[in-house]
Amino acid sequence: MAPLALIALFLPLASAVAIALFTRRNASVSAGISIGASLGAFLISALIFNQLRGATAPETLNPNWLSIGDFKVDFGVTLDALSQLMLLVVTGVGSAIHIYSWGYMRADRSVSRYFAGLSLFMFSMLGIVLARNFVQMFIFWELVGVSSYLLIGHWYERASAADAAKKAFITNRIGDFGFLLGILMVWAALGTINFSSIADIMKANPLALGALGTGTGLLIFCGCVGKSAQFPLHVWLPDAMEGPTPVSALIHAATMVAAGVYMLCRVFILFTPEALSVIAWIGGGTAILAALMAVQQNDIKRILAYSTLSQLGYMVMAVGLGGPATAMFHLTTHAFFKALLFLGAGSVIYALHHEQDIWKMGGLKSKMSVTFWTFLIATLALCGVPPFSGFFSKDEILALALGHNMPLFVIASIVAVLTTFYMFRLVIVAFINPAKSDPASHAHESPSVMTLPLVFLAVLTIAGGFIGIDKLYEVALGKTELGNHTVAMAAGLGAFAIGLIAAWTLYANATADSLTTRLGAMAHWMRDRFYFDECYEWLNRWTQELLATVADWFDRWIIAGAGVKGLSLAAELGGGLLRLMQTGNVQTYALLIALATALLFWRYIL
Amino acid sequence: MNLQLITLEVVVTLIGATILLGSLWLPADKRRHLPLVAAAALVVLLIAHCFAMGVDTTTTLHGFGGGIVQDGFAICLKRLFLASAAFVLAMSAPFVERLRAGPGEFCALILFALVGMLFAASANDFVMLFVSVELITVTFYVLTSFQRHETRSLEAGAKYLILGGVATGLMVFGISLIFAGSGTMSLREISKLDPLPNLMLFNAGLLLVVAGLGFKIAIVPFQLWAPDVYQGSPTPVTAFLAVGSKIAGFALLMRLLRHTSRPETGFLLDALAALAAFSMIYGSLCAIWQRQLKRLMAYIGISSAGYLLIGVIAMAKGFDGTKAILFYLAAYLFAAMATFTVIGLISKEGEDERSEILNGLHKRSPGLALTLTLSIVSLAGIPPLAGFFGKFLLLQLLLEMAVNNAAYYWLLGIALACIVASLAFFFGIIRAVYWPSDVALSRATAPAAPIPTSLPLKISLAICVTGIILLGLQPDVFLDLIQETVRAFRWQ
Amino acid sequence: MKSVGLEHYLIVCALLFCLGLLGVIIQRNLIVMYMGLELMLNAANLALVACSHFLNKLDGQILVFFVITVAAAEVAVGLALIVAICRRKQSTDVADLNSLKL
Repeated sequence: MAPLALIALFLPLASAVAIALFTRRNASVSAGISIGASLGAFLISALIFNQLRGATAPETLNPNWLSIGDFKVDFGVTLDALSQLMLLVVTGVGSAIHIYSWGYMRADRSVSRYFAGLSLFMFSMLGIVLARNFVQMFIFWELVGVSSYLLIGHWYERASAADAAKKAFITNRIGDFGFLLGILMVWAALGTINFSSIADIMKANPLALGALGTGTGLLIFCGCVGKSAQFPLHVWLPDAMEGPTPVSALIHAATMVAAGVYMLCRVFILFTPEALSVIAWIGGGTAILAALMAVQQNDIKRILAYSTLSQLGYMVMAVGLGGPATAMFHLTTHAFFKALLFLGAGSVIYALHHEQDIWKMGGLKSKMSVTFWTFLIATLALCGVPPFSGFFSKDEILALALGHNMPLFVIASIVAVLTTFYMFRLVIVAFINPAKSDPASHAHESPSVMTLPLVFLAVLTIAGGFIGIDKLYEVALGKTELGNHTVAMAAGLGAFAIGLIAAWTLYANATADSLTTRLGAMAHWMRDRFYFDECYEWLNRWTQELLATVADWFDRWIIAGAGVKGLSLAAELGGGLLRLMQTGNVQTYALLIALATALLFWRYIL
Repeated sequence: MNLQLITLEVVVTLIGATILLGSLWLPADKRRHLPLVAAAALVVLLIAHCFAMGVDTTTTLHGFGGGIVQDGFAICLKRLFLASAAFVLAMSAPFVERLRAGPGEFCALILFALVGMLFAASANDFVMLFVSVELITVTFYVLTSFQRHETRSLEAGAKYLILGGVATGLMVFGISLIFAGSGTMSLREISKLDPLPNLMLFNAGLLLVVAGLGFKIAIVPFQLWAPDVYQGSPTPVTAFLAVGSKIAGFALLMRLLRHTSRPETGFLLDALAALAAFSMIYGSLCAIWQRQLKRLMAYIGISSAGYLLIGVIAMAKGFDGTKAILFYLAAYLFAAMATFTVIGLISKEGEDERSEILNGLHKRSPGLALTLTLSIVSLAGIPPLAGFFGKFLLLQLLLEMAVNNAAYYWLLGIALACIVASLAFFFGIIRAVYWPSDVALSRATAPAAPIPTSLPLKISLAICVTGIILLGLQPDVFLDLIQETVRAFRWQ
Repeated sequence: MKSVGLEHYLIVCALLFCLGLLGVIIQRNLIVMYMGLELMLNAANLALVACSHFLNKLDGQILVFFVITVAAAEVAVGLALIVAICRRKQSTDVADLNSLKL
C-alpha cells in the first residue's frame, strides 16, 4: 500500500513541476495536468481505502532517512483509518474544486501559475496527512504555509492581496514557532518523534512527559492555533479571502485550516487533562467570537470565513472535550458543506462580475437555481438540520459538550443559534429578496463545469451522515463518551428554529416593511412589526452589536495591534536603532571595538 | 620537514605566480579569460585532491615543528576553501571589465588569499596562526580597494585597513601575553600544560586573540566594519570576504578554543555565548531595514556567525560539533555564493546594489530569480533547504548542552526568535523579485531585458542550487561524507 | 633595589599599546592613525622580545620577525591606498570617508 500512497503524494508535485517547467504558456494543458493529478490522487486514495477498509497498515519506507547522532527520523507513510479518510476528503473535495477552478479562473491572466500553486498545495496537504513523524509533518506544514501564501497572493497586483498573504504567512509562523519548540520538547522528553512510538510510550506511561507535560501539549497546540486560525491567531483567515474563491474553498475552508485539528487528533494521546481543558475553552471562545462577528458582515465571503472560524472552534472544542473522533467527523462533513458554500458563493460572484456585497444581490433564487438549491442544502447542513450530514456531526458535538462541560454546552448552543441566523440572513438577502442591483437582475447560471462540482458536493453533503464515517473514525480514535442525545438534539433543533425565525422576521419582512408603509393601511400590523424591530434593534445594539464591536475592536487593536504588530514593530524599531550604530566613521568603530574589548576585560579578567 | 602537508598551498601559489606571469605575456583582450583559467585550475585541483592525490583523511600528520597539522577537519576545510575560491573566480570573469586594473593581478591576489586560508585550516601554533591571518588580511586590503576609480571601493579599503590593523594589533599583543603566560607558542604544548605558569596573563592574551579573530568572523562587537566594507568592495571580493575569510576565522577559532579549553578558561565560553546571542539579534534585526543587498548579506553573515558560535562553544565543551559546523558552513557557502553571483550579474557598473535592482527579475530572467529565491530561502532557514538543516543541527547541539546548563535555554529561545525575525528580509526580496509594486516598476529606468549569463556562470549557479537542494533534502549523504572524513579525527 | 622584571616590560608594552590605540581613535589624519597602528604592533613586538629573554626561549623572537615583515607589507599596501584616497579626495582626513554607512 505504501508505494501506492507515495504515488498519490507525489503525483501533484510532479504536476506542479511539470506546469512550472513546461506549460507555463498554455493554460488549458496546465489545468488538465493539475486536474488529472488531483483525480489520480483521488482514485488511488479510493483504491487504498477499498483495500484496507480502515484497517491499520503502518509502513516505514526508509528507517534512516535522516540520522544525526541519536536523532533518527524515518520516512514513511501512516495508513490508518484516520489518514485513509482524510486522504479521501482532501483528494475528493480537492478534485471537485480543481474542476470548478477551470471554470472560475478561465479569464484569469495566469491560470498556469494558479494551477501549479493548487498542485503544490495538494502535495503539501497530502504530506501532512500521511506524515509518520513530527519532522515529516513539520516540513509539509511549512510547505502548506508557503503554497497558501502563493495562492492568497495570486492577484498580487492588489496590495490588499499581497498584504493578506504576508499576514497569513507571518501569523502562521508565530504559531509554528511554538509548534517547533513543542516538537523539540517532545523529543527531549520521549526521545522519539514518531507518532506510533509516541503513542506506545504514552500508553505505557501516561506521565512520560513529566512535569512539563501540559506545557509541551500547549506548545504543540500553538501549531494548531496558527494553522486552524484559533483565537488569538485567527486574524489572518478573514483577510485570506483576498485569494480566488476556489482557493478559499479548498484551503481556507475545507482542508488546510483543518490540518491543525487533524494534527491534534494524530497526537491526541500527548495532551494532559489540563492542556485539554485549555484547548476546549479556546475552541469554544473562538466559536462564539467568530459567530458574533459573522453577524456584522456584508461581504458574502467574509460571512463564510467567520463561519469557518466558528466551526473550526467547534472542532477544536470537541478535541479538547476528549472527542477526537467527533472532531474528525465534523471536520469531514464541514469539508463537504463549507466547500460547497464557498463554491456556491464563487458561482454567485462569478455571475455578478465580482460583486461580493450581499446587499447588492438578491433574486438569485430563480435565476441561478442549481447554485441556490445546492447552497441551501449546504446551509441547512451547516445549521444542523436533519437529515443533512451536518446534523449528525453537530449533534455529536453538542452531546459531547453536554456530557462533559455544561458552560461550553450553553456556548455551543448559542453559537448554533447565531449560525442559523447569519446563514439565513445571507440566503434571504442574497437569494430570496428581490434584486437590488443591475448585475443581480441580469445574472445567469454559471457554466456546468462549475455547477457539476456543486452537485457532487451536494450529494456528499446529503449522504455524509449515513455512510458510517463516524464509525470509522471511532475505530481509529476510540469511542467517545457522549451525553444525552435527545437533549442535544432538542437544543440543536431549537437553536435552528430560533435563528431561522429571527432571520426571517428581520430580513424577509424588510421588503414587506416598505410595502406596508406605502399602503399605509395595516397600522396595527405595522406597529407590531415596529415593536419587534425596535426590540431587535435594542437587542442587537446592546448584545450583538456591542459584543461584536468589542470583539472586532479587540481583534483589531489588541491582538493584531499589540500582539502581531507590536512584536514586528519592536523588531523593526530595534533594527532601526541598532542600525544607527553604523555611523560610517572608522574612528567610532575603532572606539567601539576598544570599549567592547575593555568591557570584556573588566568583566572576565580583572 | 614534511612537504606533502603543504602540497595544496604550494600548487596554488604556483598557479597564482603563473597567472601573474601569464598576464604579462598575453595580449590585453585575452586577459579577461584569466579568471576562468584560474577557476578551472582550482576545480581540477579540488577534484584531484578529493580523488587522486591519495590524501588519507583518517590519519593526523604533523609537520614543520608542529606548526602545521593535517587531519580530517583541515582537509574538509581546505576543500571548502578551494570550492569557494573557484566560485569567486568564476563570478569575477564578467566582472574584470569593471576593475580597470589588471585581471591577472586580481586573480593572483585571490589565489594568494586562498593560500592564506589553506594555511589557516592547518595552523597549529601561534606563528602559523598569525602568518595565515595576515596573508589573508593584507591581500584583502588590496582586493577591497581594487576598483581605484570608485570612491566607495577606496573607502571600503581604508576602513578595512584601519580596523583590520587594530584587530591585528589586538591579536599580536594577545599572542605575546599568551606566550608570557604559558611559555610556548604551540597549541599542542599549551593543551598539555598543567597548571599554566601564569593564568591571568594567559587568559588576558586569549581574550585578545579571540577579539582579533572575532573581527575576522564579524561577531558583535567586532562586526561594525562588515556592512561598510561589504558594500564598497567589488562584488566577487565581497563574496570571498563573506565566505572564505569568515570560514578561515572560524577554523582558527575552533582550533584555538579546542586546545585552550579547560576549566580555568571557561569564562571565555560564557563570553562567547553572550556574543553569539548579540550577533544573532544584531544581524537579524538590522537586516529588517536593510535595502542595500550587499549590506544585507553582511547582516546575514553576522547572524550566521552567531549561530556558528553555538557550534564552536559546543565543540569546545567536548560535544561533537564539528559535523554541524561543517554542514552549516557548506550550506552557507553555496547560498552566499549563489546570491553574490546573482547580485554581481544584475547590478550595473557603479550602481549601488539596492534591492530595487531586483524589481521584476522574475520577468527578466526566471532562472536567476529562482536561484536567488532558493538561496535566500536557504539563508533564512526555511525548510527543506540546506540552511534549515544547518540551523537545525546547531540548535540540536544547543539542546544537548542545555541538559547540563539551563542557561542555554535562553540562547535557544533567542536563536529561534532570530530565525523568525530573519523572515522579514526574505519577504522584501521575494516580493521585489516576483511581485514588484507598479510604482517600483514604473520607476525602473532600464527596459526589462534578460540578463546575459555566460555558460561557466550558469554551471557555477547550477552547482550552488544543486548543493542547496541536495544538502536540504538528503542531508545525511553529506553528513556521512563528513563523518567518513572526521571519523578518526581526534583533536591533537 | 629591585631589578627590572618581565612585569615591568609588560606594563610598558601595555601602555605603549594603549597609546597606539588611542592614536587610532582620536587622530583625524589617516597617516597619523597609521602610525598608531604601527605603535600597537611594536608594543606587541617589545612584549614578545621581553618574554623570549625572560623565558629563555627563541619562539617569541621568531614571531617578531614575522610581525616586522607583515608590518612592512601592511605599510606598503596602506600607504599606497592612502595616496590613492588623497589623490581622489584631496584630503587625508578620516572624517571624509563617510559615503558608506547605515
